[in-house]
Amino acid sequence: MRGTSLPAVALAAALVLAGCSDGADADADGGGTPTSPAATEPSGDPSGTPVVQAPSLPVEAREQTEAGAEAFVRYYVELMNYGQASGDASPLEAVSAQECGACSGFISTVDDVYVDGGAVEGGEFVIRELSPLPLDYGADYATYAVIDVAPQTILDAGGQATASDAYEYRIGLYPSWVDDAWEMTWIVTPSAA
Amino acid sequence: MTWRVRSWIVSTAVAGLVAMCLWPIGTAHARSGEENPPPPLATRPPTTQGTVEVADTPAFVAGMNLGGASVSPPSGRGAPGVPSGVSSPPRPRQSGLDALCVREALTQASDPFAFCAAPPDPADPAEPAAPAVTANLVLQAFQEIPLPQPALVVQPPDGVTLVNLETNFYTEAAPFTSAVTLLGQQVELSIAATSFDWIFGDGATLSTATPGAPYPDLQVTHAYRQPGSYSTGVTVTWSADFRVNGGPWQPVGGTVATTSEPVGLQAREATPVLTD
Repeated sequence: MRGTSLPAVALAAALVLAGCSDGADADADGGGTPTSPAATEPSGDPSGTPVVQAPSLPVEAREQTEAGAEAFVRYYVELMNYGQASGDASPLEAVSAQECGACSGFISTVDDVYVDGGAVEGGEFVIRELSPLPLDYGADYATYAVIDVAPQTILDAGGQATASDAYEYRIGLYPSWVDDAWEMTWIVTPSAA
Repeated sequence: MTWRVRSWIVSTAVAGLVAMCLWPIGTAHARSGEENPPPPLATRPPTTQGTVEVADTPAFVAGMNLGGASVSPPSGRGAPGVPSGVSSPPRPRQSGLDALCVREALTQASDPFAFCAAPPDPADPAEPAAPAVTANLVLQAFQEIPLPQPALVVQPPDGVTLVNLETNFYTEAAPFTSAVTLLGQQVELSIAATSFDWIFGDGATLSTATPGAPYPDLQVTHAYRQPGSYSTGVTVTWSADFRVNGGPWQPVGGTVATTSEPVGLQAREATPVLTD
């Protein structure tokens, strides 16, 4: 975990991990093998802070098929949850196209929140619904996602908390098959939020 | 694909938005005098420790929204419905939606399946097509709609004018709308006068596109060369556009004319009168 460990971070990470597990269970509409939820290593950090592990790419998401694309979308959302919980956005960057503005916006937010010891509680993205959309943005797959965003609290280095309530997020995700792997080409988000 | 996108535009914008979510405008920073430079706005402490600020939008959602709005869609790949060509992609199930409409729906945070729902397909037997309202049918209805009879006004008033004087003629014919039900469907008509044919009674006629105007705005005038009694009148030709069930407007293929009651007019020669 990047940044300075703080007493509050332990609680934050624990809550995040609990939320991640719930999110995986709540995503019950099928669509492939669940990705590995963020796991803990009981004593992996000298400070006692549990370590969040990045989810691994599911086997289905390695296939250039419609099911593979959907599995990749679900994996991508898991990487977002991992990035929020851990402050490590590098796996997300690795599967995001350079042009993807919303991807970059999420990654930048991870970096901005965690710099100098910030921490995040909750806020997990849980896919409630995926529905196919017409192809666009030159992508090879398109899906509409309704995502339930859990209540979230962001703690900064000074202990100040900023909270947000549960949120319903509607976006369009457009991945492409590039160099024998899926990457996120573009995400359409509400223009005003 | 291990690079990072950290353009200053996105970073600055996202940091600013996150800051908006975290601190109310005008909140001072309490961490003065520390050795390190001030941290980014997102992590700056507030003046009051232990309080919880409330954000309307989760920070990561706001970051995504702002990031998406800060960058244009992929260049050269932005045309809706055009595959990238970089692979032989799997064809996703057909949604039946228009890609451009989906873009609009998503940017408005709307459900594209509700926002872009296609109108009923007339060819679908499950959606029996309504009987067609033809332009000819509408014309018949148009011909039965009571139209206002024009009232001809002549100036000078009282039915007397002078030989060689520019006598003024005008009428009134304001556009109006009417609605009828044809074959069980709502048909709206937008009706307007499009030509005016003036009869001056001495053999002269005039056709105009305007109804004339009261004195002194002389638009339709006639000078009688001979004294006598003349019967004048005006015929107004009405045209119409129609639409069915709020659909697109289209012209009715025909016109309807209405004629004023005749107005008698005496043209007299002026008699010179000496005055003081």
